[in-house]
Amino acid sequence: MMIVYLIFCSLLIPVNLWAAITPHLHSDLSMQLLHATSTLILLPLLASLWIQRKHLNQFTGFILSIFLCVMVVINTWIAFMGMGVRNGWIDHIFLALAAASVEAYFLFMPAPASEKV
Amino acid sequence: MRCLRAKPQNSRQQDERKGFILPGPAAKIEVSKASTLGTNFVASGSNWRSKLLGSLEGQLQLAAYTAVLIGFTGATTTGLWLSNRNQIRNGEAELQANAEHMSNNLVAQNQLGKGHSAKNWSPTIQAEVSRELRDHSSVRTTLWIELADGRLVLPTLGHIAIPMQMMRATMQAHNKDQNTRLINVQGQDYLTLLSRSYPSGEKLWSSAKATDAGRIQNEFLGWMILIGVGSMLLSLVTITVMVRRIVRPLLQLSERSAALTADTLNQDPIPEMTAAPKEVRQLARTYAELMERLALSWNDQRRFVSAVSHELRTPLTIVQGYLQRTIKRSKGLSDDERRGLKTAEEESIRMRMLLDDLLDLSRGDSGQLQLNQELVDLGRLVDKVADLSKSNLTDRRIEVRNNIPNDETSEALADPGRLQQVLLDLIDNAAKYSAQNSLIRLLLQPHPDGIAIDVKDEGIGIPASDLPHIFKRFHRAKNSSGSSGSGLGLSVVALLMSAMGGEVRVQSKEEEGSCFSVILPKPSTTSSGKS
Repeated sequence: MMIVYLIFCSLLIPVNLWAAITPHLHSDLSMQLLHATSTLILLPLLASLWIQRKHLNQFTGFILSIFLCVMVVINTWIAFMGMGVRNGWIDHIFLALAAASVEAYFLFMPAPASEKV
Repeated sequence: MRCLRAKPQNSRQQDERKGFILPGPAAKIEVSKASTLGTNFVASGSNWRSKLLGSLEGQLQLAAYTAVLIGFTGATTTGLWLSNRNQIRNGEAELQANAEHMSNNLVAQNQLGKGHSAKNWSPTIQAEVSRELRDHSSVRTTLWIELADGRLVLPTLGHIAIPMQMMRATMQAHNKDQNTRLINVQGQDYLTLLSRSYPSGEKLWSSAKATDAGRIQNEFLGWMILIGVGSMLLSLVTITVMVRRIVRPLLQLSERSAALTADTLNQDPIPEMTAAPKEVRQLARTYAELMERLALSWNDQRRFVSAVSHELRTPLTIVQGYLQRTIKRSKGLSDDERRGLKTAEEESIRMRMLLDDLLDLSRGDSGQLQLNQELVDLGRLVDKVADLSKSNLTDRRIEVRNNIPNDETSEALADPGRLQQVLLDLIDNAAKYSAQNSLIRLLLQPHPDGIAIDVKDEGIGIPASDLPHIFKRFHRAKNSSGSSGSGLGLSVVALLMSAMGGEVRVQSKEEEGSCFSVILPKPSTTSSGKS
């Protein structure tokens, strides 16, 4: 399940980059879907950051949490309100970055104590 | 208490994986296997991290997928960006050329850029300029002039491709950001350009609908997402298959190595892996050579143990005989001398038993263990063993119980001498680890796998951590340090039972006692004869 989640996240990286390059070319619905999906994939990472907060580097954890919270709030708003956001392409770049951070976090962070065998 | 099983025949490999030096006889411990399976499940089944990062296969898959993803993302994103940029540039160049042409015409006709103010734009001039604007506009493209006072001169067209609202938006956007090229108004993209600003204050604007190009690109983007995601999944499958192919020879090598035992060192060599990569083939060859050297060394060691045991046995028997005769016949011995001789006799008996065990194990390993399999009346044999034990172990109570129903046979196929040796060893073992006057029970009873003879004691028991290893050679339980012993007795028991087609199981709880069950198959299941 986790591997499928990671594959899905990885596929959102190029899709968000394409969306950043071609603003206003996609339909309103597809744009809302993309923002909603990109927001949803950030939630497990936020949850993990909260659960593992004692085991993480405080600075990295704090910066990542702030970044993700901002992304979740902004993109939830975009997902509900639809197209028409000025400089929306920057948001897609940040979404691609957030998806990449999901990958990096789960793959390269040290295994939590509960998972060590 | 769970019953641990020491399986006969070829199951010893499970137990002997940890070392080749004098491996113990058949001893596949089910409890141990179950706990290992549980750990493996947690480690590899449910833990995605160890599956992905903890194995060579997972790491190769991850590395290859990451490389493909980066390449794919880079190539497609760059391609899309270049395509988008070129499309805008081409449209821009087209608009610019059109506007230039028209501007030159108007300038040549002295209608534009000649320093006349907005007030000088008479209706006649406006009409001529509008016609010129119309000639250079089309269904997609519109050109218009913004006068210095903000009024607009539009082309004379039945319909204007660009709405007035868009023109205003275009001009406002340009005032804020001179680089604006693509403007979206009411869901439509317009490529817009401030084509020329004249010294007199007029501005020539041109704009084209980019919607058609955008629609095509939108469709292309939809297909691109579908094809892109499909390609990535396909590459993931391909990577998985290819990585498995790379790793498979290593797994085969590992499985072969794990299956190797002292008995199969010579018989089951590592096969030549022709389909494997060069490095793995080299590793397999090196490993096979190592196995050959190990087999030679193991055979030498086996021959050495066998020869030494055999050579020592004869002189030891003579020494033992002389000691017994001296103790019996010499009447002038002092108590000290008699005690010394008695100790020497006991030690020689112990040494003889040790040599017998070593010899049995050596014969078992080399397949030269001779058995005289015949139908044995187990009830009678157990009685005989109990009588022998009672005479030897005067400070233990030995109780025999036969639970075989009268209508069932108590016969089983076994070598009577070897079976007696097994039972005496188990009783001796029980006596060694139990207190004086404690009870040792011999229980004969039917068993789903044949007939069982249980040897139960009330001794110190075996710690749970030692149970899986109790039949291994030279292994002694942690709580047995106070008693003498070589650690070979139980491995000989397991070896003999395995050779007779039976098995030995143990149940034990520390401080409560142990129960060794010798199980022999029913006569119909095996044939009699020498082995």
